[in-house]
Amino acid sequence: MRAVLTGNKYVTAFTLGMQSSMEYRLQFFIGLFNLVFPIGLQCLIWTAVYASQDHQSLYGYDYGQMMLYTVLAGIVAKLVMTHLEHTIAEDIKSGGLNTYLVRPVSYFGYRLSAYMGSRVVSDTILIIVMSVVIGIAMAFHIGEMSLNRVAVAIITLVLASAVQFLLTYTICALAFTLQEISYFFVITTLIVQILSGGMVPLEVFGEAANQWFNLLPFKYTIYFPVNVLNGRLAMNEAFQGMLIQLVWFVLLIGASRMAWKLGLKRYVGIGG
Amino acid sequence: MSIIEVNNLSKTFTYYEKKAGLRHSWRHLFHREELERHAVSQISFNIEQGEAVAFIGPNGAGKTTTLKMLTGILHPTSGHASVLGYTPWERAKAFKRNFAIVMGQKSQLWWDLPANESIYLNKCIYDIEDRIYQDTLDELAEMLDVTRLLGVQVRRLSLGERMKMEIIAALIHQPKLLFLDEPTLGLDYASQKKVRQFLRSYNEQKQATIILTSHYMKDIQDVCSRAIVIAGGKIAFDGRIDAMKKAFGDYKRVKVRFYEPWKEEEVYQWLGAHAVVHAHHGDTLDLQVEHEAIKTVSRRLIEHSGVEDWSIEEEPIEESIERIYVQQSKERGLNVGQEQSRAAELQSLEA
Amino acid sequence: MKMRSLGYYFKLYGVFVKNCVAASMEYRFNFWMGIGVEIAFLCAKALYILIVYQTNLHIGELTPDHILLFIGTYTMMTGLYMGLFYVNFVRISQYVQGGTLDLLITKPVSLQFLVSLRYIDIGLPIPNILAGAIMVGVGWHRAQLPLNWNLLGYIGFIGIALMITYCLMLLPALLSFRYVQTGAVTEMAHSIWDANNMPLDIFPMWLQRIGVYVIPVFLISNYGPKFVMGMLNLWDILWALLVPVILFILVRKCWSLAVRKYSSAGS
Repeated sequence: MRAVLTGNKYVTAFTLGMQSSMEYRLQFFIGLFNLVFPIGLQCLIWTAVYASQDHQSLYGYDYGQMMLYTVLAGIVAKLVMTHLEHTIAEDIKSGGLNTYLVRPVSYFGYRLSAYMGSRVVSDTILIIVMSVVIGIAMAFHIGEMSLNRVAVAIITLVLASAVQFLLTYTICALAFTLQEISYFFVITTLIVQILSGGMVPLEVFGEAANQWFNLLPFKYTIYFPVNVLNGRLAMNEAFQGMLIQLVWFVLLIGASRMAWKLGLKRYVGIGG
Repeated sequence: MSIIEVNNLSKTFTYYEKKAGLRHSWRHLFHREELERHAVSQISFNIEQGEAVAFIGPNGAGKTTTLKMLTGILHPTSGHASVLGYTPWERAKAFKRNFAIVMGQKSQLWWDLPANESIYLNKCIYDIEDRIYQDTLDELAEMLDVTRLLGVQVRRLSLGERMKMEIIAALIHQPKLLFLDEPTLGLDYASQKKVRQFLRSYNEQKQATIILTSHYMKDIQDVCSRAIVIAGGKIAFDGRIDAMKKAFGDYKRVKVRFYEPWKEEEVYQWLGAHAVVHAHHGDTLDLQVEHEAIKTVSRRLIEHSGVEDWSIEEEPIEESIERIYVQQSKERGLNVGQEQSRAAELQSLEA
Repeated sequence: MKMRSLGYYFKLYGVFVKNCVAASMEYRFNFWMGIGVEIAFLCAKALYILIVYQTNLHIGELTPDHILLFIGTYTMMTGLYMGLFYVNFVRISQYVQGGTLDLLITKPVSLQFLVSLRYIDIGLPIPNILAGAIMVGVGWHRAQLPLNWNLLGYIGFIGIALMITYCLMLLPALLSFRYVQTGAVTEMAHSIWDANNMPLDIFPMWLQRIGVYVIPVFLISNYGPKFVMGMLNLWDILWALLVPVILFILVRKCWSLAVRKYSSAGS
């Protein structure tokens, strides 16, 4: 509440987001289970796959690397995926957006601040879990971990979150035009998750498909940061990827601005 | 035997309190303080077959809670009730077959289908014979003047038409007891009138018992002959509607127009303790005057040279009731409105 | 009396189906979107099939073709769950918060029936059931499994699986009576559900035991194919027949507990 006194509305939004994330404790604690269980399932499947034919290496990953990829991709997916679609679409559909449009506050700024606030607690937990995983991987010499890499990976993760947020925000502008949007978001979330490498490493799709993935922003949100972390990408490749992330960041800022401008024009046109 | 007997019925809600601020959010995550609110406390009344009774009271007074207990939706914290010979919250199927409830803001109709499909579903649920169903449907639709709208999708109907369909759906099994929670809320004047007329004649023709809550005094005066006023979870008045005035103090409303604008202090000096200023806009004055003082006040008005015109009216019944609410909350030593809105807010967060 | 009431409920369900078909024709866009959603999920499943065949995955005696039979069964069950149950279970919290539940409580019919089976989505299950059936057919054929009374047994196990699905997935949904946000619980239930994605043999023994005897999710998509392959003994079959009964009794108990809590807490 001190934030109100100092007059920064975005800080207020941040604190409110953080508070409401703690309002529902059931949600909060079960979230941990939902992190571990699917990852465990994936690991078991891969274990069965590696065991069945005495494979040394599949899709270019040895067993340890595959485990590391699966675990890290699961955590990174939780870190970068926003799940904001429904909140924003609801604002657009129910006219809640109006209350922001008439106030001296940027909707984007408000949502971003509230979102970051709501993530503080869960992200802290995720980062702790990730540190433990990295620590274990280093101790057992799985992948090629080093502190330098971790530092670089942190930057790629921040960029990945930014790209993912903008991606979501851009897609949400479709709520201005589409009638029934919730189904649509289920599709986009799933497709984004598959194409980002959140389910399985992108190598599974084969060479040809990967040529196309290079042209899309998705692989830079999960697949890329994970491979920076586990050491499959050389340092120069990591920096190259970061550059591409930056390009996508700039492009998506433009795209989201344009999409929302068009959407708002329509929104105001039909009277909300 | 009374169709409804209520004895010392009470309902207490628990809710959590959370103070603003991040520090409290964190504490709230692990520990919550439980608070209690007495929505209804120790109410008792009887209702006879064929009566039309209104529950009156401000928001959060306990009207809807009482209604919900009588229909078996809510379990009381303590007390007894017998409705049609059943204990409502045991929810016997035989009991449910004999009453209906219409809630102004909740719909049982399928939004995307014509209303008659939803009514037909009720026919199946209540297991009504084909011929009886058809006759009842025809009769109700005719009474409410919506026969040609039965085949129209509900979402294409106006609010008033939709409410009429809700009523038909609720009455298709010809219940002897009908509960209505704010049935005319948000309807236009013509629809309100139609619904009232219908309820009155349904009550008279079928000898059906009607229990109604509403904020519109017109609903209550047109449909009901008896009122139960609930304030702060307690019964403030129970009796015939025409006896309500007496019970709440017999006040008149005197409207005065002056030639020139008057100051409020001057009015007080001039009329003294005989009248209370209810409203004052420049050259017009609204006075609340007790029955006994009306002669004195009239005399002074005639004698005063500044008065252009004046009239004496009955005090609107809403205002008599409002006085009761204010009195009640003063007795309880707190501001009811504020406490309730806060409690409601907390509940909506927690549910 | 019992038979009459069974007929009564069948008739009511028929009216539900009729109403839902009529309503879904109203929103053809939603209908196609629902199909789109399921196709997207199918793509995710296709990934697993891709990996199974690419790596020529063998699990114990199971060949990739056998595994396809499991994945196909799981896909079909997912379609049935989404179309028949999920559409109702997600609505429970809306009923509670919007107060529709109050109206439903006053109806002289089983509240659980009314709440948990009132809606049927026609679009959602089509792609899954179709694709699942094709997978089962292809797997069945390629694995050279006999096609005789086996099929009848398989269908019987699908019926059992349906009962188990209804009970198991309704249990977490009951939390909506008490809590506003149950997204995390639903997510948890769904991630457990996803454990059926692969034959249970890939799990360590202790997890298999839990999944068969404690939270019997594995019965849903494993026992049908295993029966066809002759991998079930008499005890397994008896257990599979017993589980739906136990679960149904449990669900009934929890249901009335939840409703009693609701009506004594109120809103």
